[in-house]
Amino acid sequence: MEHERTLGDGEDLVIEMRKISKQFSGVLANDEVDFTLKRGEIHALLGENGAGKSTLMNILYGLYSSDGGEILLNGEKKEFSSPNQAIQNRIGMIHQHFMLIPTLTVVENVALGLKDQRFYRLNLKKVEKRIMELSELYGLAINPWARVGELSVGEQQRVEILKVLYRDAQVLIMDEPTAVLTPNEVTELFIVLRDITKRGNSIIFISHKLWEVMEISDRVTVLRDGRRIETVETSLTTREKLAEMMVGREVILQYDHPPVRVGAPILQLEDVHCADDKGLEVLRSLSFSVCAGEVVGIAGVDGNGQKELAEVVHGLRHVDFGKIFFNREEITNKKPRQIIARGLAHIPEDRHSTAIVMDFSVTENLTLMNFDSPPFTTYGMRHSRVCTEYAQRMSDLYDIRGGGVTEEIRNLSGGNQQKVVIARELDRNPDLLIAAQPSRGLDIGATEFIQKQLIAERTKGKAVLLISTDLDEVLAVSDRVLIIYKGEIMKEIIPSQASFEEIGLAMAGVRD
Amino acid sequence: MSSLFDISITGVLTATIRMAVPLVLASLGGVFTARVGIINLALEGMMLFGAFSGFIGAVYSGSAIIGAVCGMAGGALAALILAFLSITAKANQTVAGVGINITALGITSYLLSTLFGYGNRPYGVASFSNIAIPVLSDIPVIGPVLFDHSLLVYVTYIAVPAVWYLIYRTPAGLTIRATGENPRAVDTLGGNVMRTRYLCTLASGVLAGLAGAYLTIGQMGQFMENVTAGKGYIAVAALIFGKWKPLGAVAASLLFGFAEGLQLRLQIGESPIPFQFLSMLPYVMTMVALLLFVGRAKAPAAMGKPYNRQD
Repeated sequence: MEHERTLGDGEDLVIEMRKISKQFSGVLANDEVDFTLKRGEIHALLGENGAGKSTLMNILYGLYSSDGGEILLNGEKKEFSSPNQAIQNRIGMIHQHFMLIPTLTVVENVALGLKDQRFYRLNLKKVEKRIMELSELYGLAINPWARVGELSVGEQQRVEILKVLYRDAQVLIMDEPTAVLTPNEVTELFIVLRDITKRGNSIIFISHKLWEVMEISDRVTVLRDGRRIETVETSLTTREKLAEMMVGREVILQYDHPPVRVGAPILQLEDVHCADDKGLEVLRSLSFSVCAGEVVGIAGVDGNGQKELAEVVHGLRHVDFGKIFFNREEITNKKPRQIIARGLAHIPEDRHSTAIVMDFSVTENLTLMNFDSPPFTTYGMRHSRVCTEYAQRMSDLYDIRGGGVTEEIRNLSGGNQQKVVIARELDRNPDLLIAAQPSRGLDIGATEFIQKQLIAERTKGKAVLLISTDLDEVLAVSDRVLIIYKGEIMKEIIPSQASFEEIGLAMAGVRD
Repeated sequence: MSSLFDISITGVLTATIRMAVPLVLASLGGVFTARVGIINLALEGMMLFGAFSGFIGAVYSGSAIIGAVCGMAGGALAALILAFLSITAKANQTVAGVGINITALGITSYLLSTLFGYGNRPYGVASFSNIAIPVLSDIPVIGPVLFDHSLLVYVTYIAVPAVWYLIYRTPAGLTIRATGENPRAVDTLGGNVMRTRYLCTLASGVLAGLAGAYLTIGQMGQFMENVTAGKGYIAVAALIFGKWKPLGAVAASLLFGFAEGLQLRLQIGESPIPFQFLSMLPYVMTMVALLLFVGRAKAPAAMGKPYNRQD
């Protein structure tokens, strides 16, 4: 890595945030946080979900007002009460969820809210010219007249960067910019970011991924529970140290896979085709199998058929062509209940809308699949004490915390909600477990717990199908990884024997 | 015996324009609210308010122009209620719209009785008379159909391209279109979502109010209870049928106006079909149009969703 830019004498601060505090309905999201940004540096803001990173940056960008503390820009005290003021002070923010309008063109998206336009006439040609200049300067190739909704996620991010550069930002705030990118797109993004700082601009890089913070940043500030833990020079720290600061204890970054005899195939897909909600073919000739005693990971960029794959196996989506076997018995287009009865468990990707009922209690959610059968219900009577005792037992077994079994599940943290789902699904002693994005949005502690459960199932001799867009997760948990692209398997790899580049190319649809 | 076939084309088309004008104005108003993401069922109530206040303005001032201005103000007042309920109070916009419509019906009927006494209506109220535009009105067919109307019709001719230009060719229009799709994007780029939504809702009230005034003082000066009789809802249908685009809404309004004009002409021309069935024509067409096309159209993404920065 080259480090040819100078960081100045350490006094050249673009931004200084002092003792910033912010409360949301009684919860301290930021507790007297200090943060400084030097000219020309990439400063990573590292922390778990809910550590207060986005809150701090939304305060800097004027989207939220702080309850205490002050902000200095180039040594001058400033108050940002709206994004407009932040933009005028040359601060730009690229949000985790893109702030783009899919139905408009690239030029229109960039032109939105520009101050250099005459009110009676929108001059898009002028905007186009400047976009092309910037695109040339920073190597951000883009078709200015394309509709944003038709662009790839990587291209959409380029539009976001162009929006900020067009407004002449000296400070770029990037909130989890790599979350939606393929490994190759991440590499391209990092080149662009270095280029931007070489021209004297500074970047705040919000992330919870250790490896990318190590690779891209000059300094790191770690937040935990709304407090600043430490600010360090990246070159003077390690991944392990950062992880410990972030979580507050030692963290295991690698899992043991105890050797186990791989048994008979439990799930087999043969040449499966299906359509998505719009009627477009989304799985094309998908064939693979998952055997007892292995975790098979499906890796790929979001939207390449992963959601539909889980649905066809579960019987929630119609298979147009091909066959699916479960324990050698054909289950193609059978009803979900019939498939579940054969021994399928499923942790769906959207916890809130498909896995749990938010207004129900922990007990009700735990018994959602069998509340109507003994011992919970006999002769048409539901025995609430039996249910509660069962829920209590499950809570102890799976370490479900937060308010007890009668609490509405919406009041539990994401991690504990997911533990409820896992407890319910695994207690049926299934032969196959499908886990779709099982740790999305969870903190490191809960992620660890859930990933260990997946490996434990496999070691017990069950089959596990892990579908995840988090490459770190797929590689850490799986015995075999299949890379999916546009509903086809591009490549099969063994996690310990493949390079990141190789996987990245397959995820982008390049065949060997 | 006169049959279905000897109704003159000029007559039907002239009636089409006359019937379409209030729909065009109201659905253009609907374009403003739709494009900033507000469900506007209140077009009916705004029209009724506009019809009533336009009528009252003309009665007391003796001037049709002042009446029209009062009509726009009345529509804007109804719009302000919708804006407050749906933007500031973040209420359910469908309920707010229907509430305004019911209120408008009640208030206008009540005020009419209290002001003039039950069953008493002022006659000979100031209204717009036809102005034949020199030269243009002499063109065969097109002349009488398009260029021999009252001032409000010509205002509508100007309003259509003006609204189109505003929405598609100005920075403000870009902000309007973006607000209906992704208000947060507008906010993060320094735009003012609340202000944009309020102004556009008011604009829809002004246009719908003018549409209402057209019904009472556009040709003859008279007001009846529930004079709009669902025209606001037809404008909503035209808006959806026209895919929330100005020119689409205008085309749909013309189609519905044609149905209305046709049935009126058929009624005059001793058609063998009972008039009750003929009166149904525009409404049936509305339902058929919605049945055939609505499923395929895609509304602005933020439609009906109140915006809250700290969500």
